[in-house]
Amino acid sequence: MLLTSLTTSTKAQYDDELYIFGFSQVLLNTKSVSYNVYESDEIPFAYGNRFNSTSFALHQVNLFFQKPINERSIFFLNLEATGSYSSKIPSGHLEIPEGWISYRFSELLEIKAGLLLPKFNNLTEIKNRLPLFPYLIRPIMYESLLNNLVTPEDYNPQNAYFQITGSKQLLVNKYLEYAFYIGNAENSFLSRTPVGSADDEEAATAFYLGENMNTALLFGGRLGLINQYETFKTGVSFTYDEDNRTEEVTSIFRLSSFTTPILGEVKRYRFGYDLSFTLDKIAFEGEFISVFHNHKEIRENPAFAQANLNKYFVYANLTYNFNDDFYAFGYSSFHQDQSFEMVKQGTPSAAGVLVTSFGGGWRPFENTSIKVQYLDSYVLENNYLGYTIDMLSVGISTIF
Amino acid sequence: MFRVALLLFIISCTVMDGIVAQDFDENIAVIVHESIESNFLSEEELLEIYTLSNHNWSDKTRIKVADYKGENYLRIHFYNSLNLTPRTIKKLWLRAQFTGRTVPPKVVDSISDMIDLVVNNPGTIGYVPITRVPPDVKVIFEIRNDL
Repeated sequence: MLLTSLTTSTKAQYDDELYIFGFSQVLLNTKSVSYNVYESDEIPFAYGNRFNSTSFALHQVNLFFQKPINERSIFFLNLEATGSYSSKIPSGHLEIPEGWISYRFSELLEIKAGLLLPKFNNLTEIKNRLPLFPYLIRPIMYESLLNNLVTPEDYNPQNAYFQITGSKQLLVNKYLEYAFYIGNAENSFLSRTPVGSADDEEAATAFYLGENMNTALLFGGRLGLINQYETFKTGVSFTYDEDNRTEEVTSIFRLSSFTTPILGEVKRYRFGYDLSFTLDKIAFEGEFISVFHNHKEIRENPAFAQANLNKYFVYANLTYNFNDDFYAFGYSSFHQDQSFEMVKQGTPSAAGVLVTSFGGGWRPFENTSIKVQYLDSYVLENNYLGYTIDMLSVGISTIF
Repeated sequence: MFRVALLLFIISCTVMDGIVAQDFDENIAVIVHESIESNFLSEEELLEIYTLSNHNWSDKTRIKVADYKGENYLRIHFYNSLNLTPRTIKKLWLRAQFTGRTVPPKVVDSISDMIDLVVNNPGTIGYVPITRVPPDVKVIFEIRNDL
């Protein structure tokens, strides 16, 4: 009976019925993490430790539901489970990162409404589509396994709710594409307590969990150039929103003795540039994100005269395809955060995190890849803290 | 750990393999359901359809792209004639599919299945050897190997 219903379903899919597909990635990784606090004027003695672990994980499973509503409209839903999700153990996370409906007026104009991944840099749009990447462990800003090391929304917009996109042919095989979108301000503005006691300001006024408790919204856009086969893609992106500094920010790179000052809501501008191309057997992908804050109001307080919340992220990956089945890759990323969560106020140099990684992959079947990756990450330019990760991973990525 | 990683990296770099396409000297007909208004496609229009850049026929109905499973000789030859490879097209489709840009193409096992699909589904486009074109479809593009 099950077989019959599956067969019927497959036949029905082509008649504009519900289309279901997805992917999974399982991996084994062995990692070594070193944590050292150096001796300084503020810290009388150095200390540190080293931790080793080896773990299997159902890294990520995504289930996509796609339903053509009519000739111009599509509904799309993405269910995502990460880190061997189980509510019983418990482990991992389950979320719906996307659920939207689109309407295409023409190639020049398409609108999307609902929860969606905005068109910022190239990686933001495809960050959770693991089979599109040559590696297992994504760059730090996009990797769910490394989310405790950095707050991704400090660099990238995480989602939007309304987006206008389109493309126009400029030259032979070259298209100009654009996007404008609007969404909630960063997730830390979302209510975390349901309706409750009148003693709690948020609990008294929030109607539901996840309601944006700020009038600030996210505005963003992108202007890019792409060719038909997507073997060349480049673009500039921008966003405007507010950084929530109304509570203390925690970070693994910040010593607990260096408390983060409360600075309020700070206007934030993100600028991105990305470039990807394929030349014969070589594929390059890179991006740069620069995050600026409006420090004017903060610096009016003499205690924060040197406050600097700006940061940047740069990433480049090179993949060499020996043939259709075998490839090797190497990538490096660096992000520098000049804000208080990484260094003590007044420290002349900011702190940064360098990640280098290399590996390879084999596609034994059309929809399956076996990947191997080595990753090394350590904190740079920090006088107080040393943090190093060595990680070797092997995994299988399957599309279904 | 670094040495193990480096060794695995070197091994992956030294393994080589290749896809061998069988010779295929028959012309290929690009066929559509007979309800399609168009009688002819340019190569550029065909590419736009198979790269999923064009989603609708001239009468605004949805284009339903059909293809073959795996890397059979007909499929390899079809894409090579358009200066593409099956893997290039697969990569494009995956991205379009995963970002919800368009409905994924329908994949069939055999030429008979392709003919059935095109004949029975308005808006469908597929391709078959010229000698296998059935009477109740339109041929809107031909890839010639006999020139």
